[in-house]
Amino acid sequence: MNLTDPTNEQSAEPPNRELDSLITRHLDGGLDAAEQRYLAERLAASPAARRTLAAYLRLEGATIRLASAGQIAKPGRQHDPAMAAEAVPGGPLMAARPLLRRSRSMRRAAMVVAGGLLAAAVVGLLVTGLPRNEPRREGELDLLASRWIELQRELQRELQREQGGTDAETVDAAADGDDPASVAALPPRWLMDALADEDSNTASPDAS
Amino acid sequence: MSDPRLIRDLLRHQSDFMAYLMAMVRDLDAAEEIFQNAAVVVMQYADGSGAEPVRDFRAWAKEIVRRHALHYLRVKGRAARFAPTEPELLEQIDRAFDEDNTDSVERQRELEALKDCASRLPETSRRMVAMRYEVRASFDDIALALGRTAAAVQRSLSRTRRLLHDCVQSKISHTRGMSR
Repeated sequence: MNLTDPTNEQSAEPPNRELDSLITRHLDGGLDAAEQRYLAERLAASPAARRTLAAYLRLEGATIRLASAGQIAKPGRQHDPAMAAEAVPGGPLMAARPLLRRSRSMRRAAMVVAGGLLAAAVVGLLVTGLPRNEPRREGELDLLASRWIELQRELQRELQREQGGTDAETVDAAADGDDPASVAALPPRWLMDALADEDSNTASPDAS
Repeated sequence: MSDPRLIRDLLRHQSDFMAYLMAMVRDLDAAEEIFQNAAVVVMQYADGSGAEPVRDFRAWAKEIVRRHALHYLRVKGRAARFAPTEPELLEQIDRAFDEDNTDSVERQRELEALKDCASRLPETSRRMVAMRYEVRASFDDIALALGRTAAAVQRSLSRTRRLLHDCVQSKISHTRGMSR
């Protein structure tokens, strides 16, 4: 593997890199309408080109997963949002997002708490079901969040098993949150936002 | 009675759908907003008693995600950060997504490979990616922080994607070769 500094400007693209260049520039919003249509033609004409696009989409998805766990700025270490946020204009505001994410040790503690909540949550949800028309009634999002965390853990265990590892230590480590693969153990930001919305709604005085 | 399998499947494909949405709208915040709206529909369906069982979750949920994305593009397209994606390209993105049958084991391998590849990136490149995806800074903000132009940052990020893609594919190929 040869990862050279991509920030060095290089004017000419090798001909066989044209498709990759079109795809990556599209993902960064760098193609005009004519270039987009040209890329579409290339994709329409070649299954191999579509496979290349699919590979870039998987890379994009994996990057989003790593980023949500704060593992790009400091790979393999506890996330330090200050590193990614430093020197960014409007720093405190911009840096607030990663701060919402908990450190690894806190996440582990959350897992323990979530385990306790899980029994009540699952039983409650199985009996009552999720709310149909009012999915954000007070308290229900908390149950959903707990359930989400547990499902994430379950998913990671399944992935470990599917990988053929079936190594008890590995599975146990994943369950404890020690597994680096458990990068998506937190609820997604939309759920965090919904919880925040619920908190603010609960906190505000009800005029009625 | 709610169906936890649908929510589990939604989790399993979350990053898959986010990437699909990124290709359509090229804005992480917008992609997340669209995914949130689609997720609500999936959860409501999961809660629906007597609902038809979903045979192909990925295709079914992708259609929900796609419709929400198209709605977003129609409603907010003009105010979006980037030029709208051409309909021909949207069609091909959809096709590539549908044709991709990479399984979860392979995807996990790619994730692990990406971790390693990202850790080997030069510091400036890694900072750019972190600022873009973790902090969600704009090209302008990254440029200001690094003393470059926004266009240069955009080009550098595109090159970094290609490097990461090559690195991941190389590692995956090597792993396949080792397992034979």
